[in-house]
Amino acid sequence: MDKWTEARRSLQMMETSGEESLYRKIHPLAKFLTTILFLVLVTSCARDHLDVVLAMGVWLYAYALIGGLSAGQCFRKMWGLFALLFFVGIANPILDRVPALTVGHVVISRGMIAFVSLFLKGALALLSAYFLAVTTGMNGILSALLKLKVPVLLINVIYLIYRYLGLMIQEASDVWTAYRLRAPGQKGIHFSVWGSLVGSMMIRSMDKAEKVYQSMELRGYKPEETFAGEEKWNKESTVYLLICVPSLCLFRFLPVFSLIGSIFTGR
Amino acid sequence: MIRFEHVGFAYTKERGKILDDLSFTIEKGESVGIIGPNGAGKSTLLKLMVGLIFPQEGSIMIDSESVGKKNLAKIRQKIGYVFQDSDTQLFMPTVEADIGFGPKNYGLSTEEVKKRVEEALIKTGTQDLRSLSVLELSGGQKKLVSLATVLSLEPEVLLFDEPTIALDPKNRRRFIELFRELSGTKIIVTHDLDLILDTCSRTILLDEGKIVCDDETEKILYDQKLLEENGLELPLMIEGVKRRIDYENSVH
Repeated sequence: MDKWTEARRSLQMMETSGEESLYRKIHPLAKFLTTILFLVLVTSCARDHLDVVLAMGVWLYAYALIGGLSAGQCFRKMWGLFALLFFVGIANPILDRVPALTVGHVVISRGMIAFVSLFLKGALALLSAYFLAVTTGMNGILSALLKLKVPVLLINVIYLIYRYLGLMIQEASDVWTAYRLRAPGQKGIHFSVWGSLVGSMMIRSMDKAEKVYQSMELRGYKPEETFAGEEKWNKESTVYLLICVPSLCLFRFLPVFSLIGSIFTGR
Repeated sequence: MIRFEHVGFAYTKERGKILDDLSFTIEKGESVGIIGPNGAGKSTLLKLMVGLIFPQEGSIMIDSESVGKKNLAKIRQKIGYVFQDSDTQLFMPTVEADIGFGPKNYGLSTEEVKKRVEEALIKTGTQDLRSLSVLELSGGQKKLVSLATVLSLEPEVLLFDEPTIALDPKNRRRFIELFRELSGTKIIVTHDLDLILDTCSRTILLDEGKIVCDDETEKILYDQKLLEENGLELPLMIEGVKRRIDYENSVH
């Protein structure tokens, strides 16, 4: 299987990869709300509060462990995004060298703490979104959005983009193959043809996108009905919310590490 | 029953009419082949039947319903459309999910959806593919799964746009057998005249958006002059028989 097909396959299989998870039975709305809460709490952490970010990381790790989810799989599939996150805050340790703390003989600057904190916040946000996707699937997420009264037009756009991504990858693969066959020995695509290649890919993609939409329409696609969702709110979902929301708030607002430390030190 | 009454259609004014004053009726249970050279308006005709586009002139009736924006859901539940390109028809993560997509959208219960999926898988002989990703299927398998996605809606009318394109001889034969087993009204648009000869009792020959001939399949497909006048050629099967007769005559 070439890298393009593999990419398309991983995209398609992502929503079924978490079928064994304990969270599969939980109502999509409960999982969606928990993820949103997690994202809000993580992103609201001050950049020098590394301990709070780490505490949130511990929470997510426990969440994955209990639910039988694999963070490693996420790292493997989305390593490019994690690499991008690394570069987002890379300027911090260079520009802000004011010492913040000393560990042994090593002085850690404020910039370094901010860099690690930014990277961790981004990574945790990515991981939580990934866990939501694999345990809920696109249909479940959109049914949660529908229940939250998000406009149908927006739901339509999200769904079409998602369903269409696979075809876009296929188109890119075809264009890349056609180019390589007529440009032997070249590494990559020469910049002089970037414009025309992207242009032709866009036109072809639009044509295919229209056909995909027609196929969906012909099989009765209507966001209000397609995502109406047959899952009923169950006891497990209530318990899930009752555990997740308070524990999240606990990890975010209480100095968890200090409290654990005080248990051992007795101070 | 499908009735076209003086139907006219143009994509743009500049390009002119693709279909012009088209009238015909297809009765329930008929198998009809629609043939014609490229640009004759064959695929446009199918799109009009399912309301993907609407005629500027005339009307299209499916049973007693006129095809219009208001009753599209009803019309589309009656008519299944198998696309030429299976890749654009299949978009869900697994074969099973794709087949269940239609029935689910029409609000059927989970049990009914499961039942429909199972029946469609059995009819098309694709039970072993149920949990596979569409990307793992061959061209022939994709075509069968595309058909299953439509069959799960239990349509009264089946429309096929170039169904045998890119199929190897074995899969083509399998498709023909399956086509014959299917009940209901069936309409095929194709350049594969041998397929029409194998499967349809009636043929409509289109050229430049008009009906040139509407008759028994054999009458049209054995008429070399008529076919050549309209940019087509004899089916390969008949061509082969003719060559054999010529050869035998030359030997004796």
